[in-house]
Amino acid sequence: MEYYGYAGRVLYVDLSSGKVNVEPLDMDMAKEFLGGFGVNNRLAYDNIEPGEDTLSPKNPVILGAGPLVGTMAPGAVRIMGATKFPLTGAVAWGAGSMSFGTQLKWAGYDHVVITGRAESPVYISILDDQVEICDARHLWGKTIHESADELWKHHEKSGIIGIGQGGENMVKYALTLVDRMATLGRGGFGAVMGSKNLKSIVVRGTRGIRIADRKRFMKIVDDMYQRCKRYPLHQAIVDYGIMSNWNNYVKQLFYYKNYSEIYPADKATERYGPHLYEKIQKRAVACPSCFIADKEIIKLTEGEYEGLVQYTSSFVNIAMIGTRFEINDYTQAAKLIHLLDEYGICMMTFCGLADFLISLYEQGIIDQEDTGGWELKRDFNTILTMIQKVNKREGFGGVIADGWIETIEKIGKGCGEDAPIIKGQDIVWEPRITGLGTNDFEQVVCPRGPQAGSGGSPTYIPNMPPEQFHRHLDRMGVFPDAKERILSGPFGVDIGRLTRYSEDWASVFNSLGICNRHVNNRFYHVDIISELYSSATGIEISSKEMMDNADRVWNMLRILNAREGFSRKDDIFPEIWFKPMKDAEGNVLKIMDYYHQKVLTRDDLKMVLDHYYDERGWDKETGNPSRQKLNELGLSFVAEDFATAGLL
Amino acid sequence: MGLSADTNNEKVWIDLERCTGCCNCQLICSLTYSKAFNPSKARISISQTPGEAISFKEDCTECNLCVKYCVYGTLKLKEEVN
Repeated sequence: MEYYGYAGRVLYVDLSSGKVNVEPLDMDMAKEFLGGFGVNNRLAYDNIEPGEDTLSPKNPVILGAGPLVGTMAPGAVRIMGATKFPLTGAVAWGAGSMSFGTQLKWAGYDHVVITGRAESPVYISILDDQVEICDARHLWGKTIHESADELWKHHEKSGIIGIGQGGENMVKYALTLVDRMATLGRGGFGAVMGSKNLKSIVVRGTRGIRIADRKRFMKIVDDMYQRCKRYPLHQAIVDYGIMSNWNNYVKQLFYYKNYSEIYPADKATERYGPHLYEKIQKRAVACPSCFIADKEIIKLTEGEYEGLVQYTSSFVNIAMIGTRFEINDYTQAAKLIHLLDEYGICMMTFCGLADFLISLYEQGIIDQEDTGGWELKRDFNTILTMIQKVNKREGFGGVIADGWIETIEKIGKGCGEDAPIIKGQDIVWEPRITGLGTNDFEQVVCPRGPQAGSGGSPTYIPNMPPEQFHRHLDRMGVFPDAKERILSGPFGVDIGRLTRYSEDWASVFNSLGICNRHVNNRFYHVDIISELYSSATGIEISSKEMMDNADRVWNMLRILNAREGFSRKDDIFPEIWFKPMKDAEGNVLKIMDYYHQKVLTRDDLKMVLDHYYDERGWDKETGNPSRQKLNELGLSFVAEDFATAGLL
Repeated sequence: MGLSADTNNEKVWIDLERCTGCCNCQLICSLTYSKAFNPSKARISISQTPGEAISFKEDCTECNLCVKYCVYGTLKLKEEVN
C-alpha cells in the first residue's frame, strides 16, 4: 500500500523482552483519529490497562507524529507523547517540538509504543528500518544536555528525546527535553521513561514523506508564506521570541506568594524586560518547517555564570522564576532554569510547589520540623538547594519530588486548602487576573489538569472585542449554531461552550502535528488545515469532517480517564480562586467573567460547567460521554466496554 | 561574521548569523528533486546547531528555490544584494 502524509508504520518496542515489532498503520483508525494525539489516544485505549500503576512496566510510553509532520506545512513538527502520568494519575498527552517528530516520520514511522522495563539503562536507536536497544549505562546520571551531546557524537543529525537525573529518580514532575531544548511531558513523562530504565530515544530518517498532490499542497503553503512575509510582527518575533509579547505576559503570568499577589510590572520590566537582550548573546532557533522562529539559544556575557548557554523556548521562563522568588540578578535566575532543564524537571510545577512551601514557611504554618531542619527563604540559594535536593530526592527534597498531593499529605496541618492545584497539578492561567477565559476554564475540565497550551481560542487575548470573535470562531471551525450559542451566552461570551471548540481546535493541531503556539496558530484556518490534510494524504476531508474527528479525539481522551475513575467530581475550581489576589497597587482581584462585568459566584461557575458538558454532549451528572454520544462518534465498542464496567 | 559563499552555488550569499535551522531550504529542495520531503536527499546541507555551517552539494542546479523559502534572510541572491 502507498502512503502519503502518513509514514504508514507503527513501531512496537518491548524493553523487557527486547522484542521489536513493526506493524502497518491501521488506516481506518487514522481516518477516524487523524494521527498524532488522536491516534495516540486510540492506541492508549488498547495499550493502557485501567488502574495500572503509572510507574509499572505495563504503563506504555506512546509517541506519535501526525500526518503533516515532516512536510512543509508551517510548524508541523509536533511529537506527541501519551502515557498515564505520575503527577495526576490521568492518561494524558505531552507535546514536544524540534526535530524528533520529523525524523521519526522520515524514518518511516507514525507512532512508537514502548512497553516493559529494561534490566539496566538503555536508549533506543532508530535509523530507518534499523531499530536497536542500546546500552546507556554510560549516560545514566548525566544531564540531558550531556547525554544529548554524547549521543550526537554517534548519531549525527538525529532527533533525541531524553531524560535527566530527575526522570531517572522518578521525580513525579520530571519531563523530557527534545533535542535538549523543547519540553515534552509536564506531569511526569520523564519519570515514566525513568521507570523503564529508558534514558533516551534517538531517531534519524532518510526515507522521507511523500505527498499525494504536491502542486495542490504547495499552493496552500505558498499562500501561507506570502502572508507570513507580510506579517508586520514577523521580525520582532524572530528577534525577541515570545518576549515580544512581554507587555501582556508581565500582567498575566507574574503571580507569586502562592498566587496571592502580582509581582509589580515596572520592577519585572526593569529586572527582566526585553532590554536584557542587549546584554545577552542570542540566536533565534526554529523547529523544522517553522517560518516564525520563536525559540532561542542565549549565552550569558556577565556575572558568576558568564558563558552559560541556555537552549530555551523563551527568556520569559527566566523572568518568571526570577520574579517569583525575588531574585534580582537575571543571571542567577538563568542558572536556575538551566539546572531544571538539565535535570529534566518541570519548571512550572517545581516553582509552584517551591512558592507554596516558602509561603507556608513565611506564614509560620510550617517550620524546620516539617522541612528536616531546613530554613526556606524566598531567595536564590534556597531555590538552588531545593532543585538539587528534589533532583536527588534528598531529605525534604524527596518529599517535594513526589508532587503536590503527597507533599500536602505528608505535611498535614490542613495546608492543602490554599494549594493552587487542579487534579494534583498546578495552575498556569489565573482568572483573577484576566477574567475567566477558555485558558482558565480548560484547566478545570481537562483530564490532564492545568496545561500551558492555550487551545487557540480568542480569549487567549484578554478583553477581545465581541465583534472580533466571529472571524476567529470561523477560523476555529466552530459550527454556525454553536457560534450563536457562544456569542449569546452569559456575560457576553459563553466560556463553557466555547471551551469545547477550543479543545477541538487544539486537537486538530496536535493530531495533525502542527505547532499550536499562537504565533503559528494565527496563520491557520480550518479550511486551510483540511486542504493541507487532503492534498498531503489523498484522503479528502471537509472542514466539518475535520472538526467531527477532533470531537472524537477529545472524547477518547475523556474516555481513557473515565476508565481510570475520573468524572465530574474531579472537575473542581480550586478554592484559592475564591480568595482575593492583590495587584501591585494593592487593588483586590477576584474571579470575574471574561469581560470583567461581574464577580463570579459558585453558582455562576456551576453553570459554566453545565454548559460545557452540554456542548460536549456529555452526561451532566458524570461529566462523561453518554451512550448516545459514543454511538454518534462511532465508538459503540467503548459503549459496550463501559456498560460491562458499570460506567454507563 | 558577514556573508559567505559556496563554490557549488555561485548565485547565493549565505548569512550564517541569520540561520535558525528551520530546514525549509532542504525541504523544498528535496520535494522538488526527490519528490518527497526528505532533507537527507536535499542538495543543500545545514548543521545540526543553527548557523555553524551551510553548504551546497555538487549536484545543486542553482535553481535557488531555497532562497525563495528562506524567510529569515539567511540565503540571498547575490544579484539582489548587489
